[in-house]
Amino acid sequence: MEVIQSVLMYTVMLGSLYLLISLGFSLICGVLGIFNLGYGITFVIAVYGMWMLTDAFGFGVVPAIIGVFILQFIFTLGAIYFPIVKRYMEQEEFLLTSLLLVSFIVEELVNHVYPITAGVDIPTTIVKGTTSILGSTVPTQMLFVVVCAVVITLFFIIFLLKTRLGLKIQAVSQNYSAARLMGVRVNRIYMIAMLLAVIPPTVCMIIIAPIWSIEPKMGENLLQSAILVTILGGLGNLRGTIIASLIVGFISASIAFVFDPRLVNAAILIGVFFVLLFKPEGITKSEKLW
Amino acid sequence: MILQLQNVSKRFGGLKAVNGVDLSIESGEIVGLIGPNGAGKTTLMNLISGTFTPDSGNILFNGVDITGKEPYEVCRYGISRTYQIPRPFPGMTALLNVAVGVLCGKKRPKMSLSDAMLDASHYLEMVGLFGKRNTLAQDMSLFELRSLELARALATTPSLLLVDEVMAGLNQVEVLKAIRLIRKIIDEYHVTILWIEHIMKIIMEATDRVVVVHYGEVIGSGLPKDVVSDPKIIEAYLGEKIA
Repeated sequence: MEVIQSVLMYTVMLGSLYLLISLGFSLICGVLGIFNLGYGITFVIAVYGMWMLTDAFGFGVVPAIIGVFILQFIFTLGAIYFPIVKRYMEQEEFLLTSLLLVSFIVEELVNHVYPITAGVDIPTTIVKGTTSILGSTVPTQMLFVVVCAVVITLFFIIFLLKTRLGLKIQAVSQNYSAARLMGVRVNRIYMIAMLLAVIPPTVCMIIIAPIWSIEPKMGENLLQSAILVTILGGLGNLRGTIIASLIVGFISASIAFVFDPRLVNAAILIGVFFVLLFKPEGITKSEKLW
Repeated sequence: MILQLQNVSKRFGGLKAVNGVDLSIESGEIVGLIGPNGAGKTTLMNLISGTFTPDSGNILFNGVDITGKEPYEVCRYGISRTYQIPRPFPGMTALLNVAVGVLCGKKRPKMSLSDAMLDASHYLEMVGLFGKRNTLAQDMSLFELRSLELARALATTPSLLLVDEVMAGLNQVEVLKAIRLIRKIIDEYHVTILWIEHIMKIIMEATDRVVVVHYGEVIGSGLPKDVVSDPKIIEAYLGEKIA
Protein backbone atom coordinates (compact mmCIF):
# COMPACT_ATOMS: atom_id res chain seq x y z
CA MET A 1 0.00 0.00 0.00
CA GLU A 2 2.82 2.35 0.93
CA VAL A 3 4.55 1.65 -2.38
CA ILE A 4 1.33 2.39 -4.32
CA GLN A 5 0.91 5.68 -2.48
CA SER A 6 4.51 6.64 -3.17
CA VAL A 7 4.20 5.68 -6.83
CA LEU A 8 1.03 7.77 -7.19
CA MET A 9 2.57 10.78 -5.50
CA TYR A 10 5.75 10.61 -7.56
CA THR A 11 3.67 10.07 -10.70
CA VAL A 12 2.09 13.47 -10.09
CA MET A 13 5.41 15.14 -9.25
CA LEU A 14 7.45 13.61 -12.05
CA GLY A 15 4.52 13.98 -14.45
CA SER A 16 4.43 17.71 -13.63
CA LEU A 17 8.17 17.90 -14.19
CA TYR A 18 7.91 16.17 -17.58
CA LEU A 19 5.04 18.49 -18.45
CA LEU A 20 7.11 21.60 -17.76
CA ILE A 21 9.98 20.09 -19.73
CA SER A 22 7.80 19.20 -22.75
CA LEU A 23 5.09 21.85 -22.95
CA GLY A 24 7.16 24.38 -24.93
CA PHE A 25 8.57 21.76 -27.28
CA SER A 26 5.07 20.45 -27.89
CA LEU A 27 3.72 23.94 -28.62
CA ILE A 28 6.42 24.58 -31.24
CA CYS A 29 5.77 21.17 -32.73
CA GLY A 30 2.03 21.91 -32.93
CA VAL A 31 2.22 25.46 -34.25
CA LEU A 32 5.35 25.50 -36.41
CA GLY A 33 5.18 21.82 -37.29
CA ILE A 34 8.87 21.25 -36.58
CA PHE A 35 10.99 19.41 -34.03
CA ASN A 36 12.97 22.21 -32.44
CA LEU A 37 16.25 20.36 -31.99
CA GLY A 38 17.71 23.45 -30.34
CA TYR A 39 15.12 23.33 -27.55
CA GLY A 40 17.59 21.74 -25.08
CA ILE A 41 19.61 24.92 -24.86
CA THR A 42 16.62 26.71 -23.29
CA PHE A 43 17.21 24.73 -20.09
CA VAL A 44 20.93 25.53 -20.09
CA ILE A 45 20.33 29.25 -20.61
CA ALA A 46 17.76 29.27 -17.81
CA VAL A 47 20.15 27.76 -15.28
CA TYR A 48 23.46 29.33 -16.30
CA GLY A 49 21.79 32.65 -17.12
CA MET A 50 20.35 32.68 -13.61
CA TRP A 51 23.72 31.83 -12.14
CA MET A 52 25.53 34.41 -14.24
CA LEU A 53 23.09 37.16 -13.21
CA THR A 54 23.27 36.33 -9.50
CA ASP A 55 26.92 35.31 -9.19
CA ALA A 56 28.74 37.47 -11.73
CA PHE A 57 26.44 40.50 -11.86
CA GLY A 58 25.25 40.41 -8.26
CA PHE A 59 21.51 40.54 -9.09
CA GLY A 60 18.98 39.73 -6.37
CA VAL A 61 16.75 36.69 -6.91
CA VAL A 62 13.72 38.53 -8.28
CA PRO A 63 15.68 40.80 -10.71
CA ALA A 64 17.65 37.72 -11.78
CA ILE A 65 14.44 35.79 -12.53
CA ILE A 66 13.12 38.72 -14.59
CA GLY A 67 16.55 39.03 -16.21
CA VAL A 68 16.70 35.38 -17.18
CA PHE A 69 13.32 35.61 -18.91
CA ILE A 70 14.50 38.68 -20.80
CA LEU A 71 17.68 36.79 -21.71
CA GLN A 72 15.63 33.85 -23.00
CA PHE A 73 13.38 36.11 -25.08
CA ILE A 74 16.35 37.98 -26.55
CA PHE A 75 18.13 34.71 -27.36
CA THR A 76 14.98 33.21 -28.89
CA LEU A 77 14.38 36.24 -31.12
CA GLY A 78 17.97 37.21 -31.85
CA ALA A 79 19.62 33.82 -32.29
CA ILE A 80 16.77 31.50 -33.19
CA TYR A 81 13.69 33.17 -34.67
CA PHE A 82 14.96 36.01 -36.89
CA PRO A 83 18.20 34.50 -38.23
CA ILE A 84 17.00 30.89 -38.57
CA VAL A 85 13.28 30.13 -38.27
CA LYS A 86 11.94 33.12 -40.19
CA ARG A 87 14.46 32.72 -43.01
CA TYR A 88 14.57 28.97 -43.43
CA MET A 89 11.10 27.78 -42.43
CA GLU A 90 10.57 26.29 -45.88
CA GLN A 91 13.91 24.40 -45.80
CA GLU A 92 13.27 21.99 -42.97
CA GLU A 93 16.55 20.02 -43.08
CA PHE A 94 18.63 23.19 -43.02
CA LEU A 95 16.41 24.68 -40.34
CA LEU A 96 16.74 21.72 -37.98
CA THR A 97 20.50 21.45 -38.52
CA SER A 98 20.91 25.18 -37.82
CA LEU A 99 18.87 24.93 -34.61
CA LEU A 100 21.02 22.03 -33.46
CA LEU A 101 24.20 23.89 -34.38
CA VAL A 102 23.24 27.00 -32.40
CA SER A 103 22.40 24.78 -29.48
CA PHE A 104 25.82 23.09 -29.62
CA ILE A 105 27.64 26.41 -29.92
CA VAL A 106 25.92 27.85 -26.84
CA GLU A 107 26.40 24.62 -24.93
CA GLU A 108 30.14 24.61 -25.67
CA LEU A 109 30.36 28.28 -24.74
CA VAL A 110 28.70 27.58 -21.40
CA ASN A 111 30.94 24.57 -20.90
CA HIS A 112 33.97 26.77 -21.53
CA VAL A 113 32.93 29.52 -19.14
CA TYR A 114 31.31 27.29 -16.50
CA PRO A 115 32.86 23.81 -16.75
CA ILE A 116 31.23 20.95 -14.85
CA THR A 117 33.87 21.26 -12.15
CA ALA A 118 32.83 24.86 -11.46
CA GLY A 119 29.63 23.72 -9.75
CA VAL A 120 26.43 25.75 -9.83
CA ASP A 121 24.56 27.29 -6.95
CA ILE A 122 21.18 28.75 -7.93
CA PRO A 123 19.58 30.76 -5.11
CA THR A 124 15.98 30.03 -6.05
CA THR A 125 15.07 27.74 -3.19
CA ILE A 126 11.57 28.80 -2.20
CA VAL A 127 11.20 26.43 0.75
CA LYS A 128 14.05 24.44 2.23
CA GLY A 129 13.76 20.94 3.65
CA THR A 130 11.40 18.07 2.99
CA THR A 131 7.72 17.34 3.32
CA SER A 132 6.03 14.05 4.12
CA ILE A 133 3.04 13.22 1.91
CA LEU A 134 1.24 9.86 1.80
CA GLY A 135 4.05 8.30 3.76
CA SER A 136 6.79 9.51 1.41
CA THR A 137 9.32 12.22 2.02
CA VAL A 138 9.92 14.66 -0.85
CA PRO A 139 11.83 17.93 -1.17
CA THR A 140 9.28 20.66 -0.52
CA GLN A 141 10.62 22.51 -3.56
CA MET A 142 9.23 19.69 -5.74
CA LEU A 143 5.69 20.65 -4.74
CA PHE A 144 6.23 23.98 -6.48
CA VAL A 145 6.94 22.08 -9.68
CA VAL A 146 3.41 20.64 -9.45
CA VAL A 147 1.88 24.06 -8.70
CA CYS A 148 3.77 25.74 -11.55
CA ALA A 149 2.92 22.95 -14.01
CA VAL A 150 -0.79 23.32 -13.21
CA VAL A 151 -0.72 27.14 -13.38
CA ILE A 152 1.27 27.32 -16.63
CA THR A 153 -0.78 24.59 -18.31
CA LEU A 154 -4.02 26.34 -17.32
CA PHE A 155 -2.60 29.61 -18.67
CA PHE A 156 -1.74 27.94 -21.98
CA ILE A 157 -5.17 26.32 -22.29
CA ILE A 158 -7.11 29.50 -21.45
CA PHE A 159 -4.85 31.59 -23.68
CA LEU A 160 -5.28 29.25 -26.64
CA LEU A 161 -9.01 28.68 -26.26
CA LYS A 162 -10.30 32.00 -24.99
CA THR A 163 -8.28 34.76 -26.62
CA ARG A 164 -8.12 36.30 -30.10
CA LEU A 165 -4.44 35.52 -30.37
CA GLY A 166 -5.04 31.95 -29.18
CA LEU A 167 -7.62 31.46 -31.94
CA LYS A 168 -5.11 32.64 -34.53
CA ILE A 169 -2.46 30.29 -33.11
CA GLN A 170 -4.95 27.41 -33.34
CA ALA A 171 -5.74 28.33 -36.95
CA VAL A 172 -2.06 28.44 -37.94
CA SER A 173 -1.43 25.10 -36.23
CA GLN A 174 -4.18 23.45 -38.25
CA ASN A 175 -3.67 24.96 -41.69
CA TYR A 176 -1.09 27.71 -42.00
CA SER A 177 -1.65 28.32 -45.72
CA ALA A 178 -5.39 28.86 -45.24
CA ALA A 179 -4.73 31.01 -42.17
CA ARG A 180 -2.41 33.40 -44.01
CA LEU A 181 -4.93 33.78 -46.83
CA MET A 182 -7.52 34.75 -44.22
CA GLY A 183 -5.36 37.59 -42.97
CA VAL A 184 -3.35 35.89 -40.21
CA ARG A 185 0.28 37.06 -39.96
CA VAL A 186 1.73 33.59 -39.76
CA ASN A 187 5.32 34.73 -39.07
CA ARG A 188 4.12 36.77 -36.12
CA ILE A 189 2.25 33.76 -34.75
CA TYR A 190 5.41 31.64 -35.11
CA MET A 191 7.36 34.26 -33.18
CA ILE A 192 4.78 34.41 -30.39
CA ALA A 193 4.66 30.60 -30.15
CA MET A 194 8.45 30.48 -29.82
CA LEU A 195 8.41 33.10 -27.08
CA LEU A 196 5.65 31.28 -25.20
CA ALA A 197 7.57 28.03 -25.54
CA VAL A 198 10.49 29.24 -23.42
CA ILE A 199 8.29 30.00 -20.40
CA PRO A 200 7.68 26.42 -19.07
CA PRO A 201 11.32 25.21 -19.30
CA THR A 202 12.61 28.44 -17.73
CA VAL A 203 10.18 28.19 -14.81
CA CYS A 204 10.98 24.49 -14.50
CA MET A 205 14.73 25.09 -14.25
CA ILE A 206 14.42 28.00 -11.84
CA ILE A 207 12.51 25.75 -9.42
CA ILE A 208 14.33 22.50 -9.96
CA ALA A 209 17.92 23.78 -10.29
CA PRO A 210 18.61 24.11 -6.52
CA ILE A 211 17.84 20.42 -5.96
CA TRP A 212 19.07 18.96 -9.23
CA SER A 213 22.32 17.96 -10.80
CA ILE A 214 23.33 20.79 -13.13
CA GLU A 215 25.89 20.61 -15.93
CA PRO A 216 26.27 22.24 -19.37
CA LYS A 217 25.24 19.07 -21.25
CA MET A 218 21.96 18.70 -19.37
CA GLY A 219 19.95 20.08 -22.32
CA GLU A 220 20.48 16.94 -24.40
CA ASN A 221 18.76 14.61 -21.92
CA LEU A 222 15.93 17.07 -21.35
CA LEU A 223 15.44 17.49 -25.11
CA GLN A 224 15.22 13.71 -25.37
CA SER A 225 12.53 13.62 -22.67
CA ALA A 226 10.60 16.43 -24.38
CA ILE A 227 10.71 14.60 -27.72
CA LEU A 228 9.49 11.33 -26.19
CA VAL A 229 6.61 12.97 -24.31
CA THR A 230 5.59 15.01 -27.38
CA ILE A 231 5.62 12.00 -29.69
CA LEU A 232 3.64 9.96 -27.16
CA GLY A 233 1.16 12.81 -26.73
CA GLY A 234 0.46 13.16 -30.45
CA LEU A 235 2.94 15.68 -31.87
CA GLY A 236 1.87 19.03 -30.59
CA ASN A 237 -1.44 18.32 -28.92
CA LEU A 238 -1.37 19.87 -25.44
CA ARG A 239 -4.02 17.56 -24.01
CA GLY A 240 -1.95 14.63 -25.27
CA THR A 241 1.20 16.18 -23.81
CA ILE A 242 -0.42 16.38 -20.35
CA ILE A 243 -1.55 12.74 -20.49
CA ALA A 244 1.81 11.61 -21.91
CA SER A 245 3.67 13.47 -19.14
CA LEU A 246 1.64 11.64 -16.51
CA ILE A 247 2.19 8.30 -18.24
CA VAL A 248 5.95 8.89 -18.39
CA GLY A 249 5.84 10.09 -14.77
CA PHE A 250 4.02 6.90 -13.79
CA ILE A 251 6.53 4.69 -15.61
CA SER A 252 9.42 6.56 -13.95
CA ALA A 253 7.88 6.36 -10.47
CA SER A 254 6.79 2.74 -10.64
CA ILE A 255 10.07 1.46 -12.11
CA ALA A 256 12.12 3.47 -9.62
CA PHE A 257 10.11 2.25 -6.61
CA VAL A 258 9.33 -1.30 -7.63
CA PHE A 259 12.48 -2.23 -9.58
CA ASP A 260 15.59 -0.11 -10.03
CA PRO A 261 15.96 3.65 -10.70
CA ARG A 262 18.69 2.84 -13.23
CA LEU A 263 16.06 1.18 -15.45
CA VAL A 264 13.83 4.25 -15.69
CA ASN A 265 15.09 5.61 -19.04
CA ALA A 266 14.92 2.22 -20.72
CA ALA A 267 11.44 1.60 -19.29
CA ILE A 268 10.18 4.96 -20.63
CA LEU A 269 11.47 4.12 -24.11
CA ILE A 270 9.87 0.67 -24.01
CA GLY A 271 6.59 2.17 -22.74
CA VAL A 272 6.51 4.77 -25.54
CA PHE A 273 7.44 2.06 -28.06
CA PHE A 274 4.46 -0.11 -27.09
CA VAL A 275 1.97 2.76 -27.02
CA LEU A 276 3.08 3.85 -30.51
CA LEU A 277 2.88 0.26 -31.73
CA PHE A 278 -0.87 0.25 -31.09
CA LYS A 279 -1.51 3.99 -31.53
CA PRO A 280 0.99 5.25 -34.13
CA GLU A 281 -0.46 8.77 -34.12
CA GLY A 282 0.16 9.07 -30.37
CA ILE A 283 -2.43 9.45 -27.63
CA THR A 284 -4.39 12.23 -29.34
CA LYS A 285 -4.83 13.45 -32.89
CA SER A 286 -2.13 15.87 -33.85
CA GLU A 287 -4.14 18.42 -35.91
CA LYS A 288 -5.49 20.11 -32.80
CA LEU A 289 -3.50 22.03 -30.23
CA TRP A 290 -6.05 21.06 -27.57
CA MET B 1 -11.37 49.37 -61.96
CA ILE B 2 -10.97 47.04 -58.99
CA LEU B 3 -8.29 44.66 -60.33
CA GLN B 4 -5.70 45.10 -63.02
CA LEU B 5 -3.06 42.57 -64.05
CA GLN B 6 -0.33 44.08 -66.22
CA ASN B 7 1.82 41.67 -68.23
CA VAL B 8 1.97 39.19 -65.33
CA SER B 9 4.15 36.09 -65.78
CA LYS B 10 5.05 33.14 -63.59
CA ARG B 11 7.40 30.32 -64.42
CA PHE B 12 8.01 27.05 -62.58
CA GLY B 13 11.33 25.71 -63.81
CA GLY B 14 10.92 25.35 -67.58
CA LEU B 15 7.14 25.69 -67.47
CA LYS B 16 5.53 29.04 -68.21
CA ALA B 17 2.44 28.68 -66.01
CA VAL B 18 1.29 32.26 -66.62
CA ASN B 19 2.68 34.20 -69.54
CA GLY B 20 2.24 37.95 -69.96
CA VAL B 21 -1.36 38.09 -68.76
CA ASP B 22 -3.23 41.39 -68.96
CA LEU B 23 -6.58 41.37 -67.23
CA SER B 24 -8.89 44.07 -65.92
CA ILE B 25 -11.98 43.63 -63.77
CA GLU B 26 -14.48 46.38 -63.04
CA SER B 27 -16.00 46.76 -59.60
CA GLY B 28 -19.17 44.68 -59.27
CA GLU B 29 -18.39 42.43 -62.25
CA ILE B 30 -18.84 38.66 -62.12
CA VAL B 31 -16.05 37.31 -64.31
CA GLY B 32 -15.73 33.66 -65.25
CA LEU B 33 -12.22 32.33 -65.72
CA ILE B 34 -12.20 29.26 -67.93
CA GLY B 35 -9.67 27.11 -69.73
CA PRO B 36 -8.57 23.49 -70.05
CA ASN B 37 -6.89 21.70 -67.16
CA GLY B 38 -3.38 23.02 -66.59
CA ALA B 39 -4.13 26.29 -68.41
CA GLY B 40 -2.89 28.38 -65.48
CA LYS B 41 -6.22 29.46 -63.94
CA THR B 42 -5.42 28.48 -60.37
CA THR B 43 -1.86 29.84 -60.70
CA LEU B 44 -3.41 33.14 -61.72
CA MET B 45 -5.55 33.10 -58.58
CA ASN B 46 -2.51 32.22 -56.49
CA LEU B 47 -0.68 35.22 -57.97
CA ILE B 48 -3.57 37.57 -57.22
CA SER B 49 -3.99 36.25 -53.66
CA GLY B 50 -0.26 36.56 -52.90
CA THR B 51 0.46 32.84 -52.58
CA PHE B 52 2.91 33.17 -55.50
CA THR B 53 4.92 36.23 -56.44
CA PRO B 54 4.96 37.04 -60.17
CA ASP B 55 8.33 36.81 -61.96
CA SER B 56 7.35 39.94 -63.86
CA GLY B 57 4.43 42.30 -64.28
CA ASN B 58 2.24 44.16 -61.81
CA ILE B 59 -0.99 43.49 -59.97
CA LEU B 60 -3.03 46.54 -59.01
CA PHE B 61 -5.98 46.39 -56.65
CA ASN B 62 -8.09 49.54 -56.42
CA GLY B 63 -5.13 51.35 -57.95
CA VAL B 64 -2.67 50.09 -55.31
CA ASP B 65 0.24 47.93 -56.42
CA ILE B 66 -0.07 44.67 -54.45
CA THR B 67 2.57 42.76 -56.43
CA GLY B 68 4.63 40.58 -54.11
CA LYS B 69 2.57 41.40 -51.02
CA GLU B 70 2.17 38.67 -48.40
CA PRO B 71 -1.13 36.75 -48.57
CA TYR B 72 -2.29 38.21 -45.24
CA GLU B 73 -1.70 41.73 -46.59
CA VAL B 74 -3.60 40.95 -49.80
CA CYS B 75 -6.48 39.65 -47.69
CA ARG B 76 -6.47 42.85 -45.63
CA TYR B 77 -6.59 44.90 -48.81
CA GLY B 78 -9.88 43.14 -49.53
CA ILE B 79 -9.18 40.07 -51.66
CA SER B 80 -10.37 36.71 -50.42
CA ARG B 81 -10.53 33.28 -52.01
CA THR B 82 -11.96 29.80 -51.79
CA TYR B 83 -10.22 26.59 -52.79
CA GLN B 84 -11.15 23.80 -55.16
CA ILE B 85 -10.16 21.37 -52.40
CA PRO B 86 -11.49 22.94 -49.19
CA ARG B 87 -8.84 23.91 -46.66
CA PRO B 88 -10.66 24.28 -43.36
CA PHE B 89 -9.16 24.27 -39.89
CA PRO B 90 -10.24 20.65 -39.35
CA GLY B 91 -10.18 20.48 -35.57
CA MET B 92 -12.09 23.74 -35.11
CA THR B 93 -15.85 24.22 -35.18
CA ALA B 94 -17.53 25.91 -38.14
CA LEU B 95 -18.09 28.98 -35.94
CA LEU B 96 -14.40 29.29 -35.01
CA ASN B 97 -13.35 28.69 -38.63
CA VAL B 98 -15.35 31.73 -39.67
CA ALA B 99 -14.38 33.76 -36.58
CA VAL B 100 -10.73 33.63 -37.72
CA GLY B 101 -11.78 35.41 -40.91
CA VAL B 102 -13.79 37.97 -38.95
CA LEU B 103 -10.82 38.76 -36.68
CA CYS B 104 -8.08 38.82 -39.30
CA GLY B 105 -9.64 40.09 -42.51
CA LYS B 106 -9.84 43.59 -43.94
CA LYS B 107 -8.73 45.95 -41.19
CA ARG B 108 -11.50 46.63 -38.74
CA PRO B 109 -11.57 48.00 -35.21
CA LYS B 110 -10.29 45.63 -32.53
CA MET B 111 -13.15 43.23 -32.11
CA SER B 112 -13.57 41.02 -29.07
CA LEU B 113 -13.67 37.26 -29.50
CA SER B 114 -17.32 37.11 -28.46
CA ASP B 115 -18.29 39.82 -30.98
CA ALA B 116 -16.32 37.97 -33.65
CA MET B 117 -18.26 34.78 -32.86
CA LEU B 118 -21.53 36.69 -33.15
CA ASP B 119 -20.46 38.12 -36.49
CA ALA B 120 -19.29 34.68 -37.61
CA SER B 121 -22.68 33.17 -36.81
CA HIS B 122 -24.32 35.67 -39.23
CA TYR B 123 -22.06 34.46 -42.04
CA LEU B 124 -22.88 30.85 -41.17
CA GLU B 125 -26.57 31.68 -41.26
CA MET B 126 -26.05 33.32 -44.64
CA VAL B 127 -24.57 30.12 -46.13
CA GLY B 128 -27.05 27.85 -44.37
CA LEU B 129 -24.66 26.39 -41.82
CA PHE B 130 -25.95 28.01 -38.64
CA GLY B 131 -27.25 24.64 -37.43
CA LYS B 132 -23.77 23.21 -37.89
CA ARG B 133 -21.97 26.01 -36.07
CA ASN B 134 -20.66 23.71 -33.35
CA THR B 135 -19.69 20.89 -35.74
CA LEU B 136 -15.98 20.33 -36.30
CA ALA B 137 -14.94 21.05 -39.87
CA GLN B 138 -13.43 17.58 -40.14
CA ASP B 139 -16.92 16.10 -39.67
CA MET B 140 -18.58 18.12 -42.45
CA SER B 141 -19.61 16.95 -45.94
CA LEU B 142 -17.98 18.33 -49.11
CA PHE B 143 -20.92 20.63 -49.80
CA GLU B 144 -20.88 21.92 -46.23
CA LEU B 145 -17.12 22.51 -46.46
CA ARG B 146 -17.59 24.46 -49.68
CA SER B 147 -20.26 26.57 -47.98
CA LEU B 148 -17.93 27.03 -45.02
CA GLU B 149 -15.17 28.20 -47.38
CA LEU B 150 -17.53 30.84 -48.76
CA ALA B 151 -18.53 31.93 -45.24
CA ARG B 152 -14.87 32.20 -44.20
CA ALA B 153 -14.02 34.17 -47.31
CA LEU B 154 -16.96 36.55 -46.79
CA ALA B 155 -16.03 36.99 -43.13
CA THR B 156 -12.85 38.79 -44.18
CA THR B 157 -15.16 41.40 -45.82
CA PRO B 158 -13.61 41.22 -49.28
CA SER B 159 -14.29 43.57 -52.19
CA LEU B 160 -13.02 40.90 -54.58
CA LEU B 161 -13.84 37.23 -54.09
CA LEU B 162 -11.82 34.60 -55.94
CA VAL B 163 -13.90 31.43 -56.29
CA ASP B 164 -12.03 28.31 -57.40
CA GLU B 165 -14.26 25.52 -58.78
CA VAL B 166 -16.80 25.67 -56.00
CA MET B 167 -19.03 23.16 -57.83
CA ALA B 168 -16.42 20.42 -58.34
CA GLY B 169 -17.45 17.07 -56.90
CA LEU B 170 -20.98 18.19 -55.97
CA ASN B 171 -24.10 16.31 -57.08
CA GLN B 172 -26.83 18.00 -59.11
CA VAL B 173 -28.93 19.02 -56.12
CA GLU B 174 -25.86 20.46 -54.37
CA VAL B 175 -24.81 22.32 -57.53
CA LEU B 176 -28.23 24.02 -57.64
CA LYS B 177 -27.91 24.92 -53.96
CA ALA B 178 -24.40 26.29 -54.54
CA ILE B 179 -25.58 28.43 -57.47
CA ARG B 180 -28.38 29.83 -55.31
CA LEU B 181 -25.85 30.55 -52.57
CA ILE B 182 -23.47 32.42 -54.87
CA ARG B 183 -26.37 34.44 -56.30
CA LYS B 184 -27.40 35.31 -52.75
CA ILE B 185 -23.84 36.42 -51.99
CA ILE B 186 -23.77 38.60 -55.11
CA ASP B 187 -27.16 40.17 -54.24
CA GLU B 188 -26.43 40.80 -50.57
CA TYR B 189 -22.73 41.67 -50.54
CA HIS B 190 -22.26 43.20 -54.00
CA VAL B 191 -18.75 41.76 -54.18
CA THR B 192 -16.79 41.50 -57.39
CA ILE B 193 -16.17 37.86 -58.27
CA LEU B 194 -13.50 36.13 -60.32
CA TRP B 195 -14.82 32.61 -60.73
CA ILE B 196 -13.03 29.53 -62.04
CA GLU B 197 -15.59 26.96 -63.14
CA HIS B 198 -15.65 23.99 -65.50
CA ILE B 199 -19.43 23.70 -65.76
CA MET B 200 -20.10 25.96 -68.77
CA LYS B 201 -23.85 26.17 -68.12
CA ILE B 202 -23.14 27.89 -64.82
CA ILE B 203 -20.60 30.23 -66.35
CA MET B 204 -23.06 31.13 -69.13
CA GLU B 205 -25.86 31.90 -66.72
CA ALA B 206 -24.08 33.47 -63.79
CA THR B 207 -21.25 35.60 -65.17
CA ASP B 208 -21.14 39.00 -66.86
CA ARG B 209 -17.97 38.27 -68.77
CA VAL B 210 -15.74 35.31 -69.47
CA VAL B 211 -11.95 35.27 -69.73
CA VAL B 212 -10.37 32.26 -71.41
CA VAL B 213 -6.88 31.10 -70.47
CA HIS B 214 -4.81 28.56 -72.41
CA TYR B 215 -1.15 27.64 -71.88
CA GLY B 216 -0.86 30.46 -69.39
CA GLU B 217 -2.09 33.16 -71.80
CA VAL B 218 -5.42 34.95 -72.14
CA ILE B 219 -6.77 33.85 -75.52
CA GLY B 220 -10.18 35.47 -75.34
CA SER B 221 -12.48 37.65 -73.31
CA GLY B 222 -16.05 38.81 -73.74
CA LEU B 223 -19.71 38.07 -73.16
CA PRO B 224 -20.30 34.40 -72.34
CA LYS B 225 -22.39 33.77 -75.48
CA ASP B 226 -19.72 35.30 -77.73
CA VAL B 227 -16.85 33.47 -76.09
CA VAL B 228 -18.38 30.00 -76.44
CA SER B 229 -18.88 30.50 -80.18
CA ASP B 230 -15.31 31.72 -80.78
CA PRO B 231 -13.49 29.07 -82.91
CA LYS B 232 -10.17 29.76 -81.15
CA ILE B 233 -11.73 28.91 -77.81
CA ILE B 234 -13.53 25.83 -79.08
CA GLU B 235 -10.19 24.68 -80.48
CA ALA B 236 -8.47 25.19 -77.12
CA TYR B 237 -11.12 23.11 -75.39
CA LEU B 238 -11.95 20.44 -77.99
CA GLY B 239 -9.01 20.33 -80.40
CA GLU B 240 -8.29 21.68 -83.88
CA LYS B 241 -10.29 19.13 -85.92
CA ILE B 242 -13.61 19.83 -84.22
CA ALA B 243 -13.04 23.59 -84.32
